[in-house]
Amino acid sequence: MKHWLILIRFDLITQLRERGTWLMLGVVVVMAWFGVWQGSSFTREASVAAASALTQADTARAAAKQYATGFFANPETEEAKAARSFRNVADIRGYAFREHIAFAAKPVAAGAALSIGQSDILPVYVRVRAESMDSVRFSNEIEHPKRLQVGRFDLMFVVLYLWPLVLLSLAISVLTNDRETKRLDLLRLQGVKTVSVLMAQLVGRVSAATAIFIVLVTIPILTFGVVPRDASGVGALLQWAGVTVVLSLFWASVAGLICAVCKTRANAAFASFGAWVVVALVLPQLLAATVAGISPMPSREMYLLKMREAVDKTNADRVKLIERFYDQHPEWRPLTTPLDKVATPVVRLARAAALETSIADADAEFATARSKQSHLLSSLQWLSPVTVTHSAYAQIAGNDAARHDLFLSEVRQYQLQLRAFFQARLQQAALAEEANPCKHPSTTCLPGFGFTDHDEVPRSAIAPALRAAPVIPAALLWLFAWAGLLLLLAGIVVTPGAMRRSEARVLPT
Amino acid sequence: MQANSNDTTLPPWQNSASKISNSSRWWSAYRGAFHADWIERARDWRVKLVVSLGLLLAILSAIFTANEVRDTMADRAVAKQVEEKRWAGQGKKNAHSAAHYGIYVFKPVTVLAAIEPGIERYVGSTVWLEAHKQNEFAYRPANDQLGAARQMPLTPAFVLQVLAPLAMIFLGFGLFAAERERGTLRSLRMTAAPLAAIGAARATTLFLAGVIIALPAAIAVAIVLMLSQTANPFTDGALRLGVFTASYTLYLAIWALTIAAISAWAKTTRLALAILVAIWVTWTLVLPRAAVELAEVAYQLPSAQSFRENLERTLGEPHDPVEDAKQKAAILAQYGVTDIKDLPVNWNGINMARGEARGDKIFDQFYGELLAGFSKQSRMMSNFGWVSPAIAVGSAASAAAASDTAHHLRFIQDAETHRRVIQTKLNDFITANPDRDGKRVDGDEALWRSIPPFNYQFPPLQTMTGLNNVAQLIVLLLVAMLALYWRCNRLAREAWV
Repeated sequence: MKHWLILIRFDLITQLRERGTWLMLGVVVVMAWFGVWQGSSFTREASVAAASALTQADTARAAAKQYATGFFANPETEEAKAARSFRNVADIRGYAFREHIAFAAKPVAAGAALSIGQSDILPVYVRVRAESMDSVRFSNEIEHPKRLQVGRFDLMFVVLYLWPLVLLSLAISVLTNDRETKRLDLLRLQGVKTVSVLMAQLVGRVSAATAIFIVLVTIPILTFGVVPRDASGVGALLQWAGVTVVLSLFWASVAGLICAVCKTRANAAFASFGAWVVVALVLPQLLAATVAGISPMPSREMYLLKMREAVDKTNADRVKLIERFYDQHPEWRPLTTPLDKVATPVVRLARAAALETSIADADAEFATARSKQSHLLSSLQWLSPVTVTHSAYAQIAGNDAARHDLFLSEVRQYQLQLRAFFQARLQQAALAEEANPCKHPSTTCLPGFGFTDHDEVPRSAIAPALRAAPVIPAALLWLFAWAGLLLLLAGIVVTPGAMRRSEARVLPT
Repeated sequence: MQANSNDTTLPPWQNSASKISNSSRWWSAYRGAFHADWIERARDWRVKLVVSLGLLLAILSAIFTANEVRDTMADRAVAKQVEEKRWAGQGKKNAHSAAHYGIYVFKPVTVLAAIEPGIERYVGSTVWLEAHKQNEFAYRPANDQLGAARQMPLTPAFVLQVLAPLAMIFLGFGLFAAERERGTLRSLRMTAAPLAAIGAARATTLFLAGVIIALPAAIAVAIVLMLSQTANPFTDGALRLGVFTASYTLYLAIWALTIAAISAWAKTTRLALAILVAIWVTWTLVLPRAAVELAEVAYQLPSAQSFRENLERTLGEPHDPVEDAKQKAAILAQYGVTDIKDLPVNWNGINMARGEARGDKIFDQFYGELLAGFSKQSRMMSNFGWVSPAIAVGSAASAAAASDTAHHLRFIQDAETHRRVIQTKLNDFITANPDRDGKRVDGDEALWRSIPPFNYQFPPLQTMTGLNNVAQLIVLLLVAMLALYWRCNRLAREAWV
């Protein structure tokens, strides 16, 4: 152990004198700060937009309540008489389908700014309408498409793609420099094992660089409150640091194997960069392309045609649909109005539900393909350490697709609650109207289609699962496995026997 | 990894140097060095390995993307046809109901998008044209993708813009640096061959290595797409193909010259590799991302929430009663009546046309500002092409392939124009057909068919972007040429020192 410490100390002192090392570290830290700033700005803007959306919903609800109170207090004003039912917040027909404003917002995780992940594609807040999930499906944040195409300059980008280059650059002289200067032979004469030199230099350089990097990146994160200054924020930061350490360990092991095999620094540099290209760029792409190739997504164009057919069919079967609906809900069946004369707004939600049923198979095709892709990716991701790390960063930031799916399922539950609420109110209003037809020019009366219970309309509630702090995924263990395997191979390559054989090949004399 | 200099040691000009002109001497040296370098590289197993890997990735990516684009082209062609048929066959109905029924139009995908998909995965592919509303584009392919697919998608553009230069760096970082390390530079000078000619020859070999990686990918795309039969959405396909090819040719040439220049400048192969890798990381990974982020900082776009809230609020504001009364009076005066009941035309049609006109004005204001914001950001990103050829070639190639933001924004505007054509036609019909005996006059197939189908063709390239990005590539190429020329001349002097 003592000679290890001596080796590490000596190596680190040598490295301290290298201006290039400090320059590289400085550049990557500045880039990381830029990434932190970008992540922080993005998260702040998304949070502000989500909060504004929720405020807009509350304000609109209060204004609607106030308007309805005024409307029924003074129904004879010109404004009240001229009100059109489909735009009137005091009318259930206008409120349910057009004027009701509701949003659902995904809680921002404490570590959200550490990785933007998929959150620029998958919005943090969505408009929810009782009629359909279309407003949720098409809730995209306004982003320049080129920005989405190129990808974000966030902390994850720096750590995932640029940080390994720094580590590899630091490590290419491990052992190779000692071989080139014949210092290794001297050390071996003194009884120091080659594997000890390799491991000591690797551990020393990578640990020191990683520690400096994490500390320098963490300082502005805590200083400027990029993550909350509480247990959740510190927890997220610790998780981020943990993943970064594991990632560094993986790249250290890659460098270890390369330095064990390569005789010169030039060869090590060449091989290291090649390894980076393959591991960081090519493998993740091949994996994603393979997954998409094995389980391709169905065509959205064909989905659209199916949806249009379903709309046509639902319109054509209108009467049958209404009959079926009132068979299922005899308590709401009109007493005197023939079913083919029931007003469109009264059966609009029933029609929307029927449309969803018609298109359910097409929706299921997408869900199945997506779940198959996720499953395939989970089974194959061990092949690509960068993909595993990418998922881990997105997950601890709460910006991963799985969390978004959970959010969407919560939104769907909320949308069904809204639909059930408005359906009951519409049917009760239609029965009241049938019993006592409205004489007011606006056709909005109480009892009847008039509506004043704005406070009773369900509000979105966030499931505890979405509030829970994200955790590091178990798949990260694959990085340990890879690191262990690569270091084992490096150890085997530098065993005295293997080295003798290798040297014999190089110098047959 | 460097050229075999033996061929250049047998110069045809050495004995007759005084008799031949400088340019023939230069070309002769160039030819000799190129020949030597080419043969040397053809024998090098590392060259074979790197080029084979590059080729494999290029072909794989080309097949993946071309298949995707071919399927998308076919699906959109079918969807367009079915939608047009559905529109024409919707039966007899109120013309305003038909306006609400609407029609979906689909953005055409181009053959070149198989190589340069640009922003296609990140924008909606279709829009619903209906009454009263300018809808947003729906079904962004990226929303259906896994997060992992977003890291850096495997497309021919990625291979050509990012990986091909990398392969060239691997092959070329030792062009001169290795000679310097081994001390063979002086022997190279003994031949009296101009080093600039040797540098140019070696850069040409590197360039050809890049072309070898690129060409089969282009051929694979062409073959896969030849099987698809969809309408050409360009009126200037040849120009676009020319710009596309020229951009990538210039791009690979810039890299070849830069690699040769850095190798001629660096004292060691290690330093040459470090500098080239730093340039590669900066040009291809860092600057493209930094450019889009800085463009957002410079020209901030509104959040979707505030945009939609303001738009809905403005649309929901009551009509100006004074203006309403003025318009009504003008129409009554036009037909010489005092009551709308006496109009020989349908007041509902006039009223709806007025509503559409009001909505159009609001949409023009809101979407006009938004699209202007996108355009400003695009311009700023594009200006980073002066310092990164990867940005310049990405912008030029995606513009030629119509897969850039400018073409998408233009499509949004043209689709909206078509929506307005539909609404005008339907409202004109309603206006021209007042109720007969208290019964509404419905539209029929003849009316639906009177609306022209949306057979979209992209506008000419020069009206979309100009050739700014190609100019950037030409300037960068000249800079790289000068750098190589200067370094080679310096190298010639250093070799004797």
